[in-house]
Amino acid sequence: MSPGSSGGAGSTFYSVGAGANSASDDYRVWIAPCDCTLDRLYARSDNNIAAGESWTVTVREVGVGDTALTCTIDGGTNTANDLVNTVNASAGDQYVFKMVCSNNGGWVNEYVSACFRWVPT
Amino acid sequence: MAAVSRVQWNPSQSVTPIGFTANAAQGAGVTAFMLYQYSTVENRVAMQAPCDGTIRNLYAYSDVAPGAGETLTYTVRVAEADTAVTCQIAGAADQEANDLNNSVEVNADDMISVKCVSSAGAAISRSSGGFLFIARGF
Repeated sequence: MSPGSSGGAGSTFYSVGAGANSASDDYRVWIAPCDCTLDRLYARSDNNIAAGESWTVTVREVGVGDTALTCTIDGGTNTANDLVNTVNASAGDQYVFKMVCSNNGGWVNEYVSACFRWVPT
Repeated sequence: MAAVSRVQWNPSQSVTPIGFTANAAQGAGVTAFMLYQYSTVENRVAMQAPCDGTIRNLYAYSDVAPGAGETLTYTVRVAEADTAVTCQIAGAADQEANDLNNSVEVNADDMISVKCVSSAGAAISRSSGGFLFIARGF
């Protein structure tokens, strides 16, 4: 999944697929097609995040809340990953990327994409 | 009795179809990149591979034929480089193409995108298509 999303300073939004962002976590979702595990979250921005700022990407289960699958692109870098945590999903569960942009005075908008692996169980 | 064919599940592999689509029209003589959206800047649309794998079975579709003597050339890009996985829609009638012969190995964290190059006189078009990502290493 590649949101290709850009956000403003201090914003929290949700996205899956194309770059249509929403303040609602159920506007666009990814639905687990079978029981599976989600892991290996990767996120990247097209340019380095501004110094002192950060962009946090979290896989969120719609109607439940944030999962443990999360990573933060720190200022001065453009990639992050979570290769440690795993989420157990049941067929039909809905997920979305939650994007949180910091607001420390130096924010510059970037495009961020993210993906995770899903493995049928 | 009719023969029954079965697809054998290989537990060391997971096959995921990846679609790509252009959410904007592409004009003549343009090099564009697409996956879940369209941009002339690759790193705004590329995504990272979450694990090692293989890409193959590229299919491409254009909403209009490029025109007589014109082409739309699609190439899978990995780690910001062209790969051998490529196909071309050509002429006044064709709107589809595929590459079912070539494949490319992908490492986790590699950027993936599809490049579409329209020839100088190609009709304005919107592209879509897909390929298979065969994951390894779990």
